[in-house]
Amino acid sequence: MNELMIFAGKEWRHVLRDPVTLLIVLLLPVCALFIFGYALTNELNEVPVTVVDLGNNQLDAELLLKVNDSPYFETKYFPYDLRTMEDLFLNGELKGAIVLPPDFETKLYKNARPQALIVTDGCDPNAARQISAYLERLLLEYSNSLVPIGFSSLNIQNQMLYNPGLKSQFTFIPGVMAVVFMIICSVITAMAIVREKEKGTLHMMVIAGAKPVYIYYGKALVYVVIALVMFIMIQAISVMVIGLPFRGSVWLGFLMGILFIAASLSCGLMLASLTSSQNTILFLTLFVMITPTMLCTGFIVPVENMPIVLRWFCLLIPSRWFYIGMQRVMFQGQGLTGIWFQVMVLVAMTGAFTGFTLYKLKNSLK
Amino acid sequence: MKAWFYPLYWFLRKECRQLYRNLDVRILIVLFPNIILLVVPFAADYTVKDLRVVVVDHDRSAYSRAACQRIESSGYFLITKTAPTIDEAEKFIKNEDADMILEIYHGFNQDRAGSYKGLSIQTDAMNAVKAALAGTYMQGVLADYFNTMTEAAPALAQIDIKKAYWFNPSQNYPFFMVPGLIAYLVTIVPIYLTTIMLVREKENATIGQLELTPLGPFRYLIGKFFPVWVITVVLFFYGLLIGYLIYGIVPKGNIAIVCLFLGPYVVISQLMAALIAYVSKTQLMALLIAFFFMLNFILLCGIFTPVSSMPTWAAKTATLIPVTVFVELCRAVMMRGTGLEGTGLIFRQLLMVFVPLFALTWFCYVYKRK
Repeated sequence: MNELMIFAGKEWRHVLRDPVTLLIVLLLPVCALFIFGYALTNELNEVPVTVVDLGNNQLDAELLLKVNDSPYFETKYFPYDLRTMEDLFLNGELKGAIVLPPDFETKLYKNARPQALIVTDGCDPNAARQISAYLERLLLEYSNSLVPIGFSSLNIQNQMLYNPGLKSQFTFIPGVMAVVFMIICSVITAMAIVREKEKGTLHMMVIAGAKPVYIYYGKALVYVVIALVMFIMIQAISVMVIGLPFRGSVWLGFLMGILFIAASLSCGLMLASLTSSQNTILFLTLFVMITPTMLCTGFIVPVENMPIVLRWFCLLIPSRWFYIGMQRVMFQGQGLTGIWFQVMVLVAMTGAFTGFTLYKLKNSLK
Repeated sequence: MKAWFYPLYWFLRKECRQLYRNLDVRILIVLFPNIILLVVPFAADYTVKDLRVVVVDHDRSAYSRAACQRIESSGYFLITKTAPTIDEAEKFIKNEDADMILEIYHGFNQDRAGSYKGLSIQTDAMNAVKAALAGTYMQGVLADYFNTMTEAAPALAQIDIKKAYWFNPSQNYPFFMVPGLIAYLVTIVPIYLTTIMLVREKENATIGQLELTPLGPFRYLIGKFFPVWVITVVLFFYGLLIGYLIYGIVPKGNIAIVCLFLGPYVVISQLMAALIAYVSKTQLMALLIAFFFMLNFILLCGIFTPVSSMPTWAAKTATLIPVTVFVELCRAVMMRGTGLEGTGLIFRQLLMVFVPLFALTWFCYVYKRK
């Protein structure tokens, strides 16, 4: 234990001597959190759309106003025919349009089932479907207010569980937190060790009688402390500044955080035991690790739509488990019974990484 | 003239050899683009489909069964579970075994007034987009059901709405992802490579030796930029090839327009890299800064989260990020077939980034050294 603390003390001095890197490491997640807390949403926001009236309908001006009133849309362009509309679509200046045929109004009042066309820029299929669904609802609501027939605007009570405001931060904040932690924790730990390897000081310490295990875990200890400070800071910001709820037990969230930090750090230690060049570490973590982590955590890309092989692969990513567990604790307010599986997986992962590292150390540095 | 090119030639030769020898560079050039191009488009499918519904049926009549059947046959929903009470149903949601609860009250079919109280939906809103779309779909399907069940109303909806998805009628996700990913690649790869090549010189202190040679700062930057620039351009065409061979993407517009922008665009990325390298002392620092940019770029560039749905200030900021602009250009030309006359805005946006970046780099590398 004493030996461990000696190495932790040594690493602590290393960290203090390089304040710029420490500052970057501490500030990076905070900046990321702010940017994503405020900038990233998935709700439509003032998408440029329009209503094109091919005949002489009286309705279109009113419908335009109604469309413009909706927070999702804005109307900037008013093309008169399909040709100009097409040009606007081609240049990306319009994302959606309701096209009314000449006989729309007369047929609507005669109850003769008029036709209408909703055009969307289908490049982004998801956004297109959202735009077209909202435009359809607006059109139906409007026509129903003129000629009330049928249940076209059914008002079924729809309760949004856990996230009544439909805020995207509920997915982005825990996701960004998970990815940034995973990358930063493993990168800095691995770098701290490999730097000594590269300079040859690690071997000198081993020759002097220090056990490599103590060197490795003494260093990791310092980063556990730094990561915990970071974790508490990020949680505080996301609750106090960004205004996310924390419905579950804070201690449980803390437990999730510690377990995830342990998993990421032991992943970093494993990488360090495998390589001996700083550049390789950097490239491995920042390129090879980041893409799978980003994808498989589940906050950018829905995991349930992935091919089965990739879904299995997602199970191997620690940040995925942290992400699910954190969401359950923070937003659903679940207790230990709800997240025991995630906890177990993180513990198992930490164990596996540590076991591998110890095995490697036993064989390599004799 | 020859005297000007001679040192540059030797410097370029050295750079090419160093690039070639470097194992990490090979990882970056070979592994990274292939992960991005071959895995991401398969993984990123945002289609909202197969929403799992738990039904809490208090009615247990032929009507409620018919409603459930209608919901299943709509193609969006799967009724995976039934539960006797709402609390039981909520457990499924908590364990992520279901996305939605549909509660059908006793005698729900008696009430045929417009605002309907015989049913209620609860949606798991952790994923906001999915929840919003699921709610809209469910309302539509149920409205349809009541229209056919009620004698008083006409059998069909009031307006016959046709929907057209232009430029991507089959709603194919790789069509949308690949142009964006290619644009992303030709940004990130030069940023990383150039940063590494510049900082390594600093970290190894060989920059002092270079300063003693007749190579000035201008030729130094050219020598650093050019090999990476060539690699990036090759990577761009490799991306197009993969797009064609694997995803069957044939650019709709003239690809020469993108090529026209590509050259200066890569230089923009490299200028950013030069600035990152200027402020950082070690490779760790440089790569951490570059990582920070990369994280922001990937989330703000519109590949995964549409720019159109950001708050106005964020969308404005996003257009200052060159990746966002280039992603938009690639999509415009490759998917919509925008011609050269439609790229004026993109040109101005890129110019707005290029000028200050160039000036700043000039100031840091050339002016300050004199």
